[in-house]
Amino acid sequence: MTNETQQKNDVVRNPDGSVIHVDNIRKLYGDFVAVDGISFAVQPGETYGLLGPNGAGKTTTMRMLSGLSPVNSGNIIVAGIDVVKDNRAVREVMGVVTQHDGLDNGLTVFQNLFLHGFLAGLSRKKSKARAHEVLEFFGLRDRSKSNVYELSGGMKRRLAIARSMMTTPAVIVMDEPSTGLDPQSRNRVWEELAILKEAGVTVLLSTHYMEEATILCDRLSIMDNGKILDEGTPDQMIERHAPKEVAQLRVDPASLRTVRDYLNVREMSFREVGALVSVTGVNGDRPDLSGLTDVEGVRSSYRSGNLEDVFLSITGRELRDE
Amino acid sequence: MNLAIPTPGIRRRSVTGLWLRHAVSFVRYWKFIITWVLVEPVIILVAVGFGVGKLVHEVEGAPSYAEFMAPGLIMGNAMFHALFETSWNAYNRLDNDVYETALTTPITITEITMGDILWAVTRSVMTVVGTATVAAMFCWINHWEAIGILIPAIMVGTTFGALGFLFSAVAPHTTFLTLVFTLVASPMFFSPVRSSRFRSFPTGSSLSLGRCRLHLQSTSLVDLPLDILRGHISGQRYTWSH
Repeated sequence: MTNETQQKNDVVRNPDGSVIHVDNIRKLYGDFVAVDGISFAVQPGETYGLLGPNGAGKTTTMRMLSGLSPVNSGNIIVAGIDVVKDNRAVREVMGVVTQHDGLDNGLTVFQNLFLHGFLAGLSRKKSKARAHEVLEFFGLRDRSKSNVYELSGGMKRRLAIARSMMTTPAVIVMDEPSTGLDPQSRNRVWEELAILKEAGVTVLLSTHYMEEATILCDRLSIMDNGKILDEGTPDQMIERHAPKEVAQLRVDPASLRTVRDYLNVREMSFREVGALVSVTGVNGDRPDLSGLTDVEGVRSSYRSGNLEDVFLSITGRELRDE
Repeated sequence: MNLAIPTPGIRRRSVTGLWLRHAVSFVRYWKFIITWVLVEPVIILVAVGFGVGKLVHEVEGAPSYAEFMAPGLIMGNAMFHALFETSWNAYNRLDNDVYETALTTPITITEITMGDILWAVTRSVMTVVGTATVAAMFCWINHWEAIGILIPAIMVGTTFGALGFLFSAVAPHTTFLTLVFTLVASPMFFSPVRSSRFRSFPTGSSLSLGRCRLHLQSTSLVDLPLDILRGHISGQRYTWSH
């Protein structure tokens, strides 16, 4: 399978050299603006992420990209195909992993893949051969005759990703590839996505997990309220918007007031999530918490700034709040 | 691979691919579905033929009550199967994102509709063949021209396949689909069963529904294919002039 996917690196490029080119697209549902004039480009072999909370417009953007939802204005070009004008053609070169696995419970694992390939245009023979190939690749060969409803959540997700690979697509669009999975299954999905990336497959994914975006994405956009707020590599974004170090205090309820007073007096910015208080120092430097070492019920640790801090810094809100 | 047929906008592979999906799913569960195709009609035909049929001794224009009833039951069954396929089953597919996933391939909603109606026709034909075989075994159908039942089977499958799909497309929840059976299917089922407009089977039979008859006749989409079926079974041609 690797050889075949690598060939897709020779995918038809858009005039600007990208594989996905999105130019100022807008989507309205009545008066509600779901996507508000966003633009970005994804290069061949790149994994590009749309990071944002639920309702940011990620799924709508994905649906417009795969030709499933018409745009109100703007342009989308994928592998040289004008998606706005020819939404059928784009699905010949694009693999899509929908947010809910969308697996067919009336069929076996193998039949899910085979019939998807056949519907997509492969001959029966080619679709069967390809189904065996992707089952092998995704470690699902032993389950090929299983009913879909017998699979674990992680296996279902991997099968949904495997299904999107049936036609050896030039680009794969994945809507929240690891949402709802336990940590172990999530790692497995990430490993497989990393292998696809090595094979040169271009991936556009949406996520609200900053860890997922950090690990998988070469570049990403932060989306909120239908707009792209900033774009760059994860490192660039962190450097641009996040503090260098963040102190994390685990505070017993009895000591919370003392901690708040201490931080307020020194004008340090902080946010509380349950018993966890995250503190940012002045100018993003390591916050000085020496005065809290003697306070009972306070345990402190330090971590580097991450994409969650970036999101907070740009929007003023927690990513996980949504 | 480009399998598009010359007609712009319709891709043949989309329709056949969806039909194949339904066929594969059907084959997986054939042991259960076959009871509906064969066992239920046997029970109804036997009940009508040997049960009610024993009580009704004379039916004008037909050798026996069972032979009079068989065509109606066959078409009624075909109607139910086609309707069920595109209402209940289609709604389930809609609910389980089967169509949403199909739409990630180069397929359109029109083609999905065509594929589903084609499958409803297939189910209708299967049902008609199954039920007619049972009826033939009891000698309630014994004319060689009965092979012509495939024509009304296709008509019923298309009509009720489309009607069922219309219901599942607008249904806000599964319970809504009950309406297609209670308000559409049941009245139409008893309409063809009660009698026929076909000349050789006059409407003055024991199952005529009095003042309701005219209304039922005007709503019955099964009547035309049923009349053709009766024509084939009895060896008489359908007459358009009644």
